[in-house]
Amino acid sequence: MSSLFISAWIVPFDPAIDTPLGHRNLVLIYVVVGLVQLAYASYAIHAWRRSGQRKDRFESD
Amino acid sequence: MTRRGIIIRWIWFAGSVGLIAYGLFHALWASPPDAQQGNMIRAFYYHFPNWIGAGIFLPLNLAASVAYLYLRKKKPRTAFKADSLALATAEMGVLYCTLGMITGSLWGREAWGIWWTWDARLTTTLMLTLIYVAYLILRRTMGGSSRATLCAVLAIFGFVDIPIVYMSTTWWRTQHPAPVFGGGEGSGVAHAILVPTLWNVVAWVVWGGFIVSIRYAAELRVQQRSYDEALAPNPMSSTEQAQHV
Repeated sequence: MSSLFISAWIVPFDPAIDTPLGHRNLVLIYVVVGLVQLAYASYAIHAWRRSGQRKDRFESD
Repeated sequence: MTRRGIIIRWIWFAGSVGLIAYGLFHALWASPPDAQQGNMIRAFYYHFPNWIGAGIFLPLNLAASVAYLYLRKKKPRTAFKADSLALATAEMGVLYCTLGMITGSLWGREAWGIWWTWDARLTTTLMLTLIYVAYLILRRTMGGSSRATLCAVLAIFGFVDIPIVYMSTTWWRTQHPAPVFGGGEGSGVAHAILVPTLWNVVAWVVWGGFIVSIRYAAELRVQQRSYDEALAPNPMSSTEQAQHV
């Protein structure tokens, strides 16, 4: 949630041409894409490390 | 992953993060608002690259699946590489499809007044995502030597939906607009929109390739170890034989 509030200040908003709903959704687009990509990257790195640990265990056996 | 591979991936990571930061700068600050959509046009810069990502990684999944089917008996170790690439690209393709639908829905709520509609473009896109989700579930739940073969066949059938998704706005009347690029007469965007679009497309495709390379390396390591274990002589059976003697 904190990243959402920070992004709300970063994403441009002009009340003359934008609606509050549009601004909120625009912020969500940038936050969701960033967070989901980061989450998947974490999973990929975790899977890589886990595959290495299994190898070590196998070799020590 | 060799030491050289790790160094290459660190460079790749730094490059992709730099590109994403530069793309974000263009998307949020260096480009003007649109005359009709205002600042909501900035949704396009994070919506469109997802579909380009899916349009790159899902065809790669098809190529890897076909390569696996061709090589599985001739060169098993090379076939493992193809199968590992198929998994990595399918996951990335599903990720980009999901993000494309989420960002499209958030944009559509503002632009059309609705979160979702069952028009041909959105429905075929949802089907495409579900086909590849089924592919990933099949890979997770099924074991044995036939798993990779069945998944490769499913990937080939699943790919048939991609041209249908692309052509859906041409073949049927849809809420979703026609292709912005390569959509025939009247398609295309202004230079001020094109620049952030291209930077973000490049950035997210480079990032996607980086993540695919990690998933590929991890999956290949698991598959090769399973193969080596299967080929290795069973120590238990040799002990039992010795006891019998």
